[in-house]
Amino acid sequence: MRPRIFLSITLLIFGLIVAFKPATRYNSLELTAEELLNEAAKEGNYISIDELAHRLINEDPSIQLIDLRDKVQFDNFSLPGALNIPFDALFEGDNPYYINQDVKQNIFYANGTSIANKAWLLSKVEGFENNYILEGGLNEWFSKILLAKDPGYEVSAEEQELYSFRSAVKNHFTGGGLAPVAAGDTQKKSASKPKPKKKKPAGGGGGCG
Amino acid sequence: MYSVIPLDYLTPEWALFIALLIGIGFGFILEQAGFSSSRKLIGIFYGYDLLVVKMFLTAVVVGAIGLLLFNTMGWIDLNRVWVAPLYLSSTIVGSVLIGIGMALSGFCPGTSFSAASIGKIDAMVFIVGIFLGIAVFTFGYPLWGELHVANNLGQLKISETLNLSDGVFVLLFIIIAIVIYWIGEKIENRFARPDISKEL
Repeated sequence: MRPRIFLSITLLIFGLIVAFKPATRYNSLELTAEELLNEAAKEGNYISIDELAHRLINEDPSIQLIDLRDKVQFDNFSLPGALNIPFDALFEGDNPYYINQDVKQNIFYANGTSIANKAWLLSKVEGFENNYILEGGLNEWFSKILLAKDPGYEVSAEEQELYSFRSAVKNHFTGGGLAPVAAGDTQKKSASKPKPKKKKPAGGGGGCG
Repeated sequence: MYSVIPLDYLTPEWALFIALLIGIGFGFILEQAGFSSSRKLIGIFYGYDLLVVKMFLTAVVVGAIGLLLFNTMGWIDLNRVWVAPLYLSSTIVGSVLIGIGMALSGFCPGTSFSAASIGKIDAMVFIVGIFLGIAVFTFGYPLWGELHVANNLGQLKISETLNLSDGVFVLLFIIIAIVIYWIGEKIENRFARPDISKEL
């Protein structure tokens, strides 16, 4: 058989194999279901409101708060330095660059915890690291810090200390008044675009040979 | 999952060294296939030798089949393979310029180096030309900077544009390539010239 015909038939056979092989969406960064469950069970994925308060007061530059609610709720109130990425638009436009990076620790929050959990799971499935969940969300932030009630005297020293800490946090963020400080002023300064975690090019194509 | 050479085990220095070995092998095969002869490359413009076309098509087809099969076997992850973004204007202008350069000189960047390595003086002049061209492009960038990045269509894949799976598109491409090989043979017979490779 002439070599050219042999080569043509060989290429056609391979072509048929790749055309009709079962479609496998192989993603080396994707976690299997088991790995995902193991990751979700780890406690280190949550950040408590007290720890967050501590870091915000110390102006920790290594965190980035991500508000998953819609723009209306975000403009109404948000935590200092938070970026607004609505949950429905989590992977749209430039947003993946904020979620998939290795510079800051992203802390997802919403009113409760379920949306933040979902966002965390979705980002984990895609293989993004450095994302955390604010335990309790804004509901807990409001009820335990901004609206903290004096527990009285018949409690342990630890609880008294926790209440003192939370009052101090409340005073820090509200200036001693009852109304929280408006959201807009601090967030623009801290929300600088992180360096995108792009795939490195394999080197230019170069000539025709 | 693992890649053929697990990336975690490869430092950038080792990757460069392996690239050097691959480059040497590539240049050697280019030279042995006859691509260091400018007459072979001019052949596609005059029709008497369409080896370059056949070489390109074969390389693309083998590469595409290889990538898809490796992806199935889990040796590489196609999602992590970088696809060059398509800048339509600069691609068209650049292609015309390189075509003119090839027709005038009988070399392209890669083959010029493999020809220069066997002592061809016209290839060495071509290499000087490459660096002159780079200098002109760099210093004249304010003039064509806008054209260079105009019409960015993003990281397009033809299979996605045509709404086909990668495998089906590769099969179609193989069929097109075989047809082009066959047409190429006809053209070569039509424009045949006496074989002068013994005299070179």
